[in-house]
Amino acid sequence: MGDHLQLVLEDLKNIIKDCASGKVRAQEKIYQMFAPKMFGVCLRYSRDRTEAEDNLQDGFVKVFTNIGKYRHEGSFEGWIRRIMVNVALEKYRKQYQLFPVEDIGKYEEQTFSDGILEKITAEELIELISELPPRYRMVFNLYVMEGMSHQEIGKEMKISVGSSKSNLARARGILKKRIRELYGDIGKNANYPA
Amino acid sequence: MDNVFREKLNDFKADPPSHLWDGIQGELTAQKRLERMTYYRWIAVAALLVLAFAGGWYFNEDGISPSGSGDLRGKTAGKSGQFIDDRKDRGPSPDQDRDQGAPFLSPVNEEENTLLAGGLSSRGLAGDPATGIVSLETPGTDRLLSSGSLLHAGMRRIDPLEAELSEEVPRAYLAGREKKEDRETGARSSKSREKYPAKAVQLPRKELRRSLAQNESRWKMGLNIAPEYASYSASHGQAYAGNMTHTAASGSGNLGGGVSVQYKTGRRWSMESGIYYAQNGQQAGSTPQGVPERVAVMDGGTESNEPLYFNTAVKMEADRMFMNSIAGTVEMDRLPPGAEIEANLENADVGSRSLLTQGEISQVFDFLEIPFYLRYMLIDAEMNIELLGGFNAGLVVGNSAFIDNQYGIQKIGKTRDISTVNLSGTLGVGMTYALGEHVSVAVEPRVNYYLNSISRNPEVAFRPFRVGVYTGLYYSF
Repeated sequence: MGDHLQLVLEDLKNIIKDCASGKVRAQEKIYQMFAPKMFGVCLRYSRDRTEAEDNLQDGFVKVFTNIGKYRHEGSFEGWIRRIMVNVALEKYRKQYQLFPVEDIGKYEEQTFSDGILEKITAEELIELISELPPRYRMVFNLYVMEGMSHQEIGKEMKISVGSSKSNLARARGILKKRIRELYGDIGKNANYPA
Repeated sequence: MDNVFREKLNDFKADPPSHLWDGIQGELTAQKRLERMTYYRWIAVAALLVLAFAGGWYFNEDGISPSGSGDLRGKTAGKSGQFIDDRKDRGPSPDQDRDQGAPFLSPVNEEENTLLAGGLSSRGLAGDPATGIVSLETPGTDRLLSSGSLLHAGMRRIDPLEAELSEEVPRAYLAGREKKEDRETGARSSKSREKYPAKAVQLPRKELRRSLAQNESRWKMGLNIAPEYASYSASHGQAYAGNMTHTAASGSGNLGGGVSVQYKTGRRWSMESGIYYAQNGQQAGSTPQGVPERVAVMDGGTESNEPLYFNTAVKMEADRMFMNSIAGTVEMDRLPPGAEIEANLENADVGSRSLLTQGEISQVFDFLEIPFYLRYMLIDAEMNIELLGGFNAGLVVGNSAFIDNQYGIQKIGKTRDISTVNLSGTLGVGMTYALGEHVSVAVEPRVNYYLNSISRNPEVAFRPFRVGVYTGLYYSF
């Protein structure tokens, strides 16, 4: 197994090297290997499929243009994923940063059983996330999916730590409300960290 | 809740649509093309700067000594009838004679160069320096596939302009041109309508805008440098040729160039004038002279390393010497250092002597040419190809004779009976590549041949010709 993994890593290294030389076949291999997962990432960050396609295209152009700079430190998939997130962030900064945050009012703290969430498919979750206002969607993705801290999120999005926290709370509130509307059934109270 | 989202979505995959891969490849290809063009532009500019520098250095190089033997009168003849040069042992003169023809091509005009460089750099075609990605506009939409560089904002600003460059513009433009041409020919021609179909050829927008800009510009100014091979055709009368120098190298390499102005008179025709500098001449060689050391060789001595000696009949009149050479009679106002004058026993003429020297004598002429050319655009594409032909009024602005011997290159006089105004013909092919809306680089091989003999001596027919590659920048406005 270890040998097999080593072989796969060596193959990937060679493909990356060929990609850096501009070989289209190698680029196509990289695209086929990572595009489906990265499209999933882009769908989470986008308001709709069209925007996700744009981000994926921009992201892979950046990947192939800068692949010569990849130093083989850390995961290659993580490197590509970081590029996709950056593309989404840049687009967000251009399109939405100056727009006022929608006042969505106060949400009641809702709780529901995790069992409901288990029944919801990944596609449905993606759909729910895409319905979020852009700022909440960005904060939710960066905190929950990318594991960034509020300080890091504040730096990327040029907002304060407090804004990042409140945006995250509001994002969760909206998601829960939507889940309740769609899938009903409020269960026992469940605590979860803010 | 966070954990559930994380678990379900971390490995979530979705198949992107198949057209995305084509879009990615299209963008990468466009990027590579832009990078190549930027690279070529800088190479062209660097090459022109190097040529301009080399040209300026070449024409400013000092290589001429003014020294000579001075006044020929009062020289005493030696036992063998040779003139003895009192200053023979002094060696090469320290002075440098700069009078070999003022260099025409000064270092590249800085102002113009700045303009051109500014024009090139302000194209703004380079993308985000960090990623190298250039924003492109998808036709038909206002969606920007931008990597988020500053160029994005710039692209938004020029969106309205590019929106105008839709299919209607080429049609209207071509229709306008068609009407103008019909006026010129004096009749509405259905043929010209067929030539310009209603649906214009779809060009990428940037190239369309550049093409339109170039086509709309009537005037074009050019700065050219040309490495040239200069040679001649010559014929002489029998009496003249009997006392003439021998031909050595029939051609030489030179650097010419100049500025030009073109005016577009029609869709494919333009006229050109300007002013060019060129140099032409010829070099006369040496013939071996029999010397006593050769007798020693025959007697079993060491092989002689006797150098070749220039040995030609010269006529002495007052304080000047005259020597028949290929381009005409050389009038020497001084005896070259290291040269000897020997009595010419084969000629009964009192003034006839022989000039003996190790050197080679050359006659060099500097021309300022004022061209009158017609240009015909054969191919109007990304790289234009033009045929050019016409005439030049060639003014002889420099006329020098040199000797190149062990003392270096020295000016010894000039060629007599050279006509100041001459006529030459030029034919060439021009290849022009647009670097931007107003600037283009051109490479133009040309042949130039003098239609009249530049010597007024009836015994001499000397017609210089040149083959050169004119390289330069053009600015359209």
